[in-house]
Amino acid sequence: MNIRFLLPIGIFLALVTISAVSMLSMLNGDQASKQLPSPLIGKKAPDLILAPLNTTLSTSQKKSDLKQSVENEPFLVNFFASWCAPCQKEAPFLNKLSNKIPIIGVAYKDRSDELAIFLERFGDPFIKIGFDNDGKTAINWGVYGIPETFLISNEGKIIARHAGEITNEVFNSLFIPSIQEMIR
Amino acid sequence: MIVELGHFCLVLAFVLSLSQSVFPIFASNSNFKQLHSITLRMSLLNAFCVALSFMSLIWAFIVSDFSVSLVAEHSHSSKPMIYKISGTWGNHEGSLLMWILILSIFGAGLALTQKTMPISQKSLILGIQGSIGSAFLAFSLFTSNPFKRLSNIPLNGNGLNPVLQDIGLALHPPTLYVGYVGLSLAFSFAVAALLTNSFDKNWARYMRVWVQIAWCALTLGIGLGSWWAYYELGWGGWWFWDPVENASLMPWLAATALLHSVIVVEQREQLKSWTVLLAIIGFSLSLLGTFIVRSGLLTSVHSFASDPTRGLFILGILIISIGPPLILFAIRGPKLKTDGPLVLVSRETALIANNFLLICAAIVVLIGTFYPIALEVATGIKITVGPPYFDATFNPIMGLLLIIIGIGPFMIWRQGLTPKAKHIWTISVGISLLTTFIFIQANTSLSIGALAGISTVTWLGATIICGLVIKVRTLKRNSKSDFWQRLIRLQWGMWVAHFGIVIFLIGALGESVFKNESVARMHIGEEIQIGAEKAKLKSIFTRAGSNYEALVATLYIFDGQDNHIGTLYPEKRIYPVERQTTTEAGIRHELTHDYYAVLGDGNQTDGYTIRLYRKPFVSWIWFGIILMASGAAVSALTKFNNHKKSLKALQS
Amino acid sequence: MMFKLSLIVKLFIVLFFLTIVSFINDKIDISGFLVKNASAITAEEMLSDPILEKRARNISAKLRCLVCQNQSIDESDAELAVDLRRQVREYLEDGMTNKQIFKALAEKYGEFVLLSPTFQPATYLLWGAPLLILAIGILLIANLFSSSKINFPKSSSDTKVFPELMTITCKQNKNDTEKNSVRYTQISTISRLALPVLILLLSVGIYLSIGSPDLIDYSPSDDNTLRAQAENELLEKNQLALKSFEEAKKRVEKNPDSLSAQFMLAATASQIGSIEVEISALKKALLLSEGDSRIKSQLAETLTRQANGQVTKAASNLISEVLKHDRKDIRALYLRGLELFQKGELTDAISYWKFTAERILPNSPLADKIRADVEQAAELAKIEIPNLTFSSVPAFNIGVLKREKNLINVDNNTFEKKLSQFATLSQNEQNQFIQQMTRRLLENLRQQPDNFDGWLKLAQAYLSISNFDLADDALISAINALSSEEQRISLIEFALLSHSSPKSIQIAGSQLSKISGELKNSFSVKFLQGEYARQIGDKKQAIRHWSDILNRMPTESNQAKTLQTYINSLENTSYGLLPNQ
Repeated sequence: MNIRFLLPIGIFLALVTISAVSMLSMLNGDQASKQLPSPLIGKKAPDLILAPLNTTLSTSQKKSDLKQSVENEPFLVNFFASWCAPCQKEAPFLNKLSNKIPIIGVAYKDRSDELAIFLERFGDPFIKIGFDNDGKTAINWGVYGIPETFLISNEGKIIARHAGEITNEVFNSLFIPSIQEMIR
Repeated sequence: MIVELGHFCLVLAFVLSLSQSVFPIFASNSNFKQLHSITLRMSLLNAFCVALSFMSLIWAFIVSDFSVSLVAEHSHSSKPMIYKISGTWGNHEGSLLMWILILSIFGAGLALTQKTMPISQKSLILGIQGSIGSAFLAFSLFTSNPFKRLSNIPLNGNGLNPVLQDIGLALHPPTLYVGYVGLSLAFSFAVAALLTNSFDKNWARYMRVWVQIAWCALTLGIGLGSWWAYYELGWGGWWFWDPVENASLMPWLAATALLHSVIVVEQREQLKSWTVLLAIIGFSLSLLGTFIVRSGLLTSVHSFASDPTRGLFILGILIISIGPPLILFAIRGPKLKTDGPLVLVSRETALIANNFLLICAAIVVLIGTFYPIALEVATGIKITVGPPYFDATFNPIMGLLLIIIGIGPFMIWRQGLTPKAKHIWTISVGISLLTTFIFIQANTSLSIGALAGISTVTWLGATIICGLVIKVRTLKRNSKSDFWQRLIRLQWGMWVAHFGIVIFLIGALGESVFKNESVARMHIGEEIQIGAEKAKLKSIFTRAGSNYEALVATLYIFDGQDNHIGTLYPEKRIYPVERQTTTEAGIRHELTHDYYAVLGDGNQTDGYTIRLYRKPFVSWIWFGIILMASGAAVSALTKFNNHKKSLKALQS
Repeated sequence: MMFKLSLIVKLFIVLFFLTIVSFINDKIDISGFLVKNASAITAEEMLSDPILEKRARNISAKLRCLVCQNQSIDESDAELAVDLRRQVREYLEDGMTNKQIFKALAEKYGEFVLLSPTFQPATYLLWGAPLLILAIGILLIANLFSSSKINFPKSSSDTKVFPELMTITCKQNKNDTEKNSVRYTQISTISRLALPVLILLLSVGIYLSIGSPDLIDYSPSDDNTLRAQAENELLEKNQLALKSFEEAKKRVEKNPDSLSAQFMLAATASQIGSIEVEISALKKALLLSEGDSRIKSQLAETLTRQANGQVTKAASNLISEVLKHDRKDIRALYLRGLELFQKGELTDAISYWKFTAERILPNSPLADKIRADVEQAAELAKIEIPNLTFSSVPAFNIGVLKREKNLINVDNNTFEKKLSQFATLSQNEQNQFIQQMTRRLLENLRQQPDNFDGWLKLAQAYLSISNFDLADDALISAINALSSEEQRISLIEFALLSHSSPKSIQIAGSQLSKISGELKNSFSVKFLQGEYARQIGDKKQAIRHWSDILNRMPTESNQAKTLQTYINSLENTSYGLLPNQ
């Protein structure tokens, strides 16, 4: 048999295998594969110099590095907005989580009055909230959809990222192992 | 009643297809030679049943029978009648049925025509068609049944995606499917040739007509799709290198190669195994296209409701219908090989080069489309292969092909050039250089790629026109009374199609190199500059459509001297049933350029975002495509005529 | 050479150049603007430097819009695309090269953002492929040339012309058929019959297993009239709702302290979907009624609806208050379940929902919701989906159907048969049967819209299958069919005592105000007025009406005793809830 004549069937089989594997992973609903992996994982977290929201719920003009508010412990950075439905959905879980780990909120393209209503209605799990109104911080963090949650190690490195609504399962399966690895 | 009748007809068609696919095997291995002619009749009956079934589905859409799940999901009683009808194939199940219908019509077409073909061969080909048909009928009946009924009958349907409520849906899929499915006949010819171990010039002659028909439809279908995207999607582009577009481009490239290689078999009995392989590849790429569109494997702006389970089924069909033929090819292919003598300067060589470049282009598109998936499966790395990649790889290959198009027709079979070929080339190179020089003088900011494009296209256009002129002149000099007869016998199909490419390229180059774009937030009465012209937002009003509300902008276009030269009406439509908005571009076609306006968000106080384009020669893209398709049609028609004439001559 | 060309060629060349010249004319016109107005996406985003702007456009066209399907950020209107375009322009102003910009963005978003992948180990094959294919192809083709010799023997097939070949095949075909037809008829008279029969049988078999032959005589035109009616009714209903909303608004303006006016405003606002008005009216009603639990739970539900299905803190507090007084309030129970579910306490949520389910009928809209919710919760909690027990179908409805047999107008035998077997049917089948019958009842009532009793019965039937909205509609139809004051009273009775939905309470209120003369002081009307006041949480009014009757009754009668307990309980509780009878 001539090797040249086997080439077509070879290419065909390769193509079919690739498609089949890919389709099967789609069928299994592999969540991780639908997300865009973040290249920032393992790198130092970008700056978080934003206009913070102070307790009286009016924006203070002076920007400050929100990362300073947490020292020597892992924390979460949650990009959210009062207008986003999944953010409302994940709010109860974040409230519960806020007892275990400090969470810094970045309000993406939001208004302080609407944010106040949001926080009143859904609770305020954040130790600090900053406004990212030009979306630049979001770009620096590689955020492509709201909500997105980052886990920062005590050395200031991003060790995990989840795009989309954060749930108990995501936290347990993605973030807790990362923290454990960090401690080790 | 009618719906259930349609359902039964579909089942009947399935059983008929199954028997149609086994009869020829019985027939060749037994004494029941009559089974061959039964297979022929069966394919007619099959087409009749599927047609009846398809009609009854259309009927269900027309009368809005919401007891049919498909109608309830994709139609609405308030929809205009034309979109009720075209909505029949605006969804997975309905379009699959249309696919099957066209497949069976092609089968019936073969059974009715080409009477000179040996009946055993014909029935074998129809048998292979039948087996493809039964696979797809099983797919339709058992996983995507269009006739599924609801026990809880809703009072009204969900409506149809507004983007699909367009004349484009009525035309584009049927045409494209004729192209896709037409390739199945070439495939069946090829597999039958492998099975019977016979592939000669007659076989090629029979096959070529079908390839031409399929190619013609495929070209038109792709053209219609790109035209639809141009005016409907509202980005002003006509080709996006989107996976779904690539899925239709790949079979087109393979079919184009096949169209040419089959000529070599017909004329010289060379490239036999290659042609067989191309026929198989062509159809498998069209199946692959079906797979990509329906599986959701690749994200695309065009694909409709995708479903991984369906994707796996189509993948299954792909494996069982393409795998065995390729294995058969690996075994039998070498035997088909005929090593005739080959000379560098000959028509054969040009056609081989053509095939080679087309297949290279198809492989590049295939790699570009599948590489991200393969890489992710293998390494987990996610990358994007977008237009820049295809521009950088596909375009140079196509540039080389253009040179072959300019050279090939002036070469003759076996060895040598047509008379005056060298003169023609010299003239056209001269014209091309001159034109390029003028362009450089006029505008220094043109990129190398654009200049290369301009010079190649002028050169190609010049060779074709000079070549034709010289051909006609020599014909006139050499012939006396029979000039017109001989004139008709020129290969007009080829010349028209090749000239279509030139027209197409002028459009494509004009659009990509010289287009103008302006975007602004405009209040009523404000003006915006576009090229040398101005556009003025005259008014914004609302209009009630048949099943939508529209916000319409009136945009007056003025030329440099402030003369009113035309008005654009871009729209934003709101479809209450589907709760969607669509944008309808306002387009004014002129021979040398289009004005194209899109109405964006806005309100009276802040103004409206208006996006305005001036696209030189953009309609030439579709003129060119129509010319290419008519070239193939002319060629196919003359073939059929010749057949008929010689048949008559035989009978008398 | 050029000079030897004929006129046509010369003409062509002239034409060709004319085209090019017109093309270039275009070009010259445009070229100025190409630089000046380098076509930015929006005027705000544009850079002043045309060269930088042109570069920005080029770069944008090579960056993928991450939130879109398959567009570059240059083409997309998405917010992220706008931000990214701005970022690109800022980078350009900072003096970064194209390469640096691509790299900077790839560091944030990964290679995925680049429409043109970089040349790196993972993409060697991608970029190398075209060259590789060209090389392999050229090798293969070169092989073809090397093996060939340059002489052209006339091959045998060359000499055979096509017509000759066709003659041969034609003859062969003819021979074949002639020969074989003889053989064929000899062999198979049976198979000639057997074949079509076999095919037909197989088809019928498959069809029966996948088709729906039971729907063979279904005709969609029946539904067309139904659909037209439904659409009309919807339109009328909307208009009616709007009208009553306006009326309620006027009443509130006139009399802002009237509890019934506020309640009616809330009810009508809910029908036209004006959630803000509904909330404010409910809040006022709550104040006026001094914390009626029915209004509280309704307010909690409305607040939840406003927050897109999230149980808010305010709603949660209301729920707790309601449940403190009335552990069986359906709305409060359901919402508590939802709240727990949203907090992630899944098993507790399920038990609350199970508790709710016991209180409602199995095919009410809420029941469907509970089923779906419980299923989702069980899935998330990774436990088996628990069985839900719903309240059962009240038996009196069978009576309704039996009595209205003529109206239902069905084939007597099947109807009787089904009816006699009714008790043995499963709950689902029972419901289906009732549903079917009510549908017929409705169709027939449409023919005789003045049949007051019929409409009331229909409302009852709807109630039994928990289709509250349709029961409301039937009540409205019954109003139109009213012909006597007795009927009016039985309608109010039904609206208040059997149904008691916000809408039906509102209907009862408006009908009560229409009763005039002697009748107004009758026992039953007074009682109903008291009940109406109680239901809208107007405790004082209720006590006033009922005391009125009580005073006119012999004190020893059973009726009087019951009424006295009602009044007592009203006085003693801060919420208008009657003790269980």
